Amino acid sequence: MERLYNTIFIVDISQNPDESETVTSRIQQLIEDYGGIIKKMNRWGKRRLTYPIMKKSHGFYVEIEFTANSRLNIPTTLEGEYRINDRVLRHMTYIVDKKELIQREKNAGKIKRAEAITNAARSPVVESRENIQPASELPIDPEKDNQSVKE
Amino acid sequence: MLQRKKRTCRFCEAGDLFIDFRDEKRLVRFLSEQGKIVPRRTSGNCNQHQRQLAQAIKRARHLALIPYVSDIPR
Repeated sequence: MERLYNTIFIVDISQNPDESETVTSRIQQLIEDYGGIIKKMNRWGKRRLTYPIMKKSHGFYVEIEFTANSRLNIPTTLEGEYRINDRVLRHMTYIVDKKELIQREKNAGKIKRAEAITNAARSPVVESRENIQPASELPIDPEKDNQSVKE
Repeated sequence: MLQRKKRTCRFCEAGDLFIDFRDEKRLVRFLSEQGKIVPRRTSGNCNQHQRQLAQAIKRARHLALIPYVSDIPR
């Protein structure tokens, strides 16, 4: 059965800031090698942990969403990798619920509507700017044209 | 007898189907000062949303987005 998974992990970047990239590329490769298809990648960036994990106060959060057949057992292989890799402070893999997808669509719709409202509010300002610009450009344009003709 | 005003589920009012564990600012509202999950009788959440909320809080705790325990009063 084809499923949508989401995996989030925290990378320790206290010793080497480039560590996050090496770990994410390794995880990405693992998913693709085992037959998963990466749908979305989201780097939350460096964040403060609310409680120390392995004496670290900060971590780099990465989120990867992928689809795979449940027979491929990708979450188990990922789990093995996370456990071996000592740069990974925390990890979590879960099956994305239908409700979550519906909610995301709803939120996207809300954002679009909000953008439309703000754009509608901004549009008169933009128009007035456009009205000003051609006026300033008009006297320059003929000269430019002349120059190009001369050349 | 004092009659308390009946609380309604905030998630139902907002029309939310899913409670996101990434939204820690929203989850913190449903935690006590110590970081415990506030019961349904005080928060007023409906059964479905309270269960979803509990799951979201537990996921956020695991990822160190919100604390397991906190003594600092908010």
